[in-house]
Amino acid sequence: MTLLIVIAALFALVLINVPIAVAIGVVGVVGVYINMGPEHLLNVPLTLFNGATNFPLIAIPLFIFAGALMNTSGISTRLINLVTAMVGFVRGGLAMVNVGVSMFFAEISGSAVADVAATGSVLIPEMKRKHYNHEFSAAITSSSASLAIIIPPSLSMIIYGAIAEVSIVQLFVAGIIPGIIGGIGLACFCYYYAVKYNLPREEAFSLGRLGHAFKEAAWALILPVIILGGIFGGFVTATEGAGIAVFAALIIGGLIYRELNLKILYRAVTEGVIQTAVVMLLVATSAVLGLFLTEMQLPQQLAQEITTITQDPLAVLALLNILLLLLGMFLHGAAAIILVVPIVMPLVTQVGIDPIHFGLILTLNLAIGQQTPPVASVLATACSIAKTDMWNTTKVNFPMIGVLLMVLLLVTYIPATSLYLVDLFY
Amino acid sequence: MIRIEQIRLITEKILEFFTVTLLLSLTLIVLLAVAFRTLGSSITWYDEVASIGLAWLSFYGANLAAIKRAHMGFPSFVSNAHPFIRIILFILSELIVVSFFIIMAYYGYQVLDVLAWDSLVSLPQVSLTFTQSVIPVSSVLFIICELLSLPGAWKKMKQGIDSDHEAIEEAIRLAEQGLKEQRL
Amino acid sequence: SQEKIVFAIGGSSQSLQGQTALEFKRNLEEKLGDQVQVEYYDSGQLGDERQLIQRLRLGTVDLAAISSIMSSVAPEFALFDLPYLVESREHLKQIDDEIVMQDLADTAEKKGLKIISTWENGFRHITNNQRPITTPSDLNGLRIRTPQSDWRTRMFSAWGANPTPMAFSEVFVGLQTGVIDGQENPLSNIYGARLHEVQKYLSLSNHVYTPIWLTAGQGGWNQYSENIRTAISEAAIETQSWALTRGAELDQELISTMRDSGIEVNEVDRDAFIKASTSVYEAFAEQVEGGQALIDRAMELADQ
Ligand code: NA
Ligand code: NA
Repeated sequence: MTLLIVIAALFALVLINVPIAVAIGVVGVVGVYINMGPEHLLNVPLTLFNGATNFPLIAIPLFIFAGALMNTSGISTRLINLVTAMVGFVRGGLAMVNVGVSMFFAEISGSAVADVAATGSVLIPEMKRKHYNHEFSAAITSSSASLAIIIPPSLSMIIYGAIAEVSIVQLFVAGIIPGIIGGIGLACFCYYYAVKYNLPREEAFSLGRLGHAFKEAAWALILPVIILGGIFGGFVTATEGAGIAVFAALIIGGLIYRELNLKILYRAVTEGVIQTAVVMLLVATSAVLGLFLTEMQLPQQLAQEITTITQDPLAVLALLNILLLLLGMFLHGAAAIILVVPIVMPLVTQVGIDPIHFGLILTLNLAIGQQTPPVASVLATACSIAKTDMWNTTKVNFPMIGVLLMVLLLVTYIPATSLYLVDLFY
Repeated sequence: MIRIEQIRLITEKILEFFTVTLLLSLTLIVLLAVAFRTLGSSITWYDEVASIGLAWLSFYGANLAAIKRAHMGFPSFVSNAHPFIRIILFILSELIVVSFFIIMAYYGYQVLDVLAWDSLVSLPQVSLTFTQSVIPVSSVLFIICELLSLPGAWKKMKQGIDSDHEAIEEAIRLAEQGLKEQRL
Repeated sequence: SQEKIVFAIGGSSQSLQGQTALEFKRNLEEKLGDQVQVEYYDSGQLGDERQLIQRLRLGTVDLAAISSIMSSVAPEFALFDLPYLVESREHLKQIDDEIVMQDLADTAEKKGLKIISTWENGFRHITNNQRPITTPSDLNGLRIRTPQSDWRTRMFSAWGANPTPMAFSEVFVGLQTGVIDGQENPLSNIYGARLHEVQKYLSLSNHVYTPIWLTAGQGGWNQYSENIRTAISEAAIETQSWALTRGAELDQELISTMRDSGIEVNEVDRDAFIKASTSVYEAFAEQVEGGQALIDRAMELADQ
């Protein structure tokens, strides 16, 4: 009952456009006041502060900073050229390039919207020029961008790892196979679509062109190698990997490409500070709501009520998937993780679901949530670039959402999809 | 009106500069920590100080986000509502935000007394009163930022502009501009 | 009317600390029956130990188990961060009666905290992936993860290691990828986090005994009736002997379990470590008021 009141209150506050972070904090504060008394309000500022001093989350500003450096130093454009040289010769090549670039990019800047804006503003006009269907152009840009959040490094996983206190590196490893399956799935759909609507190829494949593009992008390619190599090679932790990314991007962009424009960079970093703060305020106020929920024992009660109905992890996962898909329609990704994880985690551990496995499922649900209106910021950005209507685009986007859903089902019911590599390494 | 806008701009620039400096310092700390560990003498206060740096970045950054009205929200219901209802809901929502931070500022200040006894574990000379001052200070700043950005938000609300939509347009504009400058 | 006692710990329910806390809860409920309702939280649900201390003072948590962070409240508690000060659980019991419950409890009281009883987190040991540690020189250059603690890092520096802070959630992977070579913890923590699966050597160094103190906020404590205070104290003391026995049992159990799982176990050269620790003792005597006297008294108790 209390949980329903909490949800209704949150919903009401968000609906009248109170910032989500503040809405969460308000419900927490009112809950503490009513149920525990005014003297307990002294806990609130302590909890708020402690919520934000979560060491692994330092990766958020660092990755965003690295992404900003990459975007402003010409690294991104070179990656796009390289992928075009690699897969552009296939029928429907530009659509494939779109998928490929997203897999390389993999939500580096921390804001899915900024990433779609970065790749979309290059690729969508190009696709339009080559007479691709406008809605299709928006849809493939949007879906492949969402896929990126399950390919490491991923900020969604960093946030989940920090909140659920599971290893971020293991989450990264778990995302590799599902990410590749999803990428192949989207590429296959692109090919089918390209044959059906007779879409063009880019220039014929040329080894020379590939070589040139590769040379141009070589330094940019070294970047993921440095980050992931640093993490898996035991040089740095996942959090510090983000720091290394900043360092490498500075060297490559500033000393090798010499394309760092300090003015643009300052603006990008400011943007990064804001994105960090927006997420972190959510994290902090959610800790306040968590304070209230914990003392009311709500997560435990929820776990108990559901486990009296079923103890079967597969059934519980099905329930969780439905809940998350619904939530994903209305909540932004980060907000959904931050809000949901503390509430469902006792349930997840009680029925014996591996927290790494659940992290992947959660992340995939959020990826799908970015594609489902009404709240679908990634889709909205792609539509805005392509100047298409969101609902019409969604119709074209259905098969691609289908691909993502298929990956979700695979990951959910064949745990090895995500856990095989984790078990292999750890 | 013009004066408020000027104060808003100056406050925004100061907050920008301060938070960007915090981010750069945080990056530097992490890089130094990696370097020192590799060289064989780790910085022992690293994770405690870096976590607190993150908290400062978060709360002062939240002030910057407030003055730019960039916090995550759900504006489409309000911006599509009847103009009269829109005004009522707008005022209500502003009141809720300001009240929340008044409470945070008040209790955040009260609690500093309790913390005066404690210090950081890895740097005993740094008192928790100092590190945790960010809560009352940034709460007061949040209210100031909210008020300074109120006139602009009011104007947009009257015109029924959806701020989510605006943010997306801004992201695209930035990306396209970056692209042009790269091609030059 | 029924009184509510909010009791919280930072450790998990399976840890020795968690088992001890549950034992205490049982004891207390047995003594007080329907008079009180004990609301118990583990796994840091109400915050880590730092937050629990703050909440004890605010009166929003009534009882909490606090370990090494106590030395950031009152520096005298760093006595327990002196390597090889505590020789055995019997010695610990002596120190507890003569020093903790007398002197240290007094200093804590001045900082708003009431120490009720001393339980255990256990003797700490070193694990690593490079080599068995028998003398301090074996630690040379090893990156050993230590918790945020001024004294612990000083101790490992004195032995020639490179003490490295790291969030506990990253330690498992950190040990596996090699960001860090080793770590130090009581056996029940090592086993609980499955660290033995990613470590080759377990060296039974016993370098520090970490007690954990059942603590109340002074304000809240004074408000309880005499009857409740006595019940809490008695339950806590009964729990202490349970905890010490269980701790010793657990050490034996875990050493053999972990040895069976393939980790190489060895003893250390205690005297070599003691010899290498003098600088830590000197620093304690110098920095903590009355430090030398505390050391001397604690050492004397070992012979009794
Ligand atoms: Na990614
Ligand atoms: Na959605």
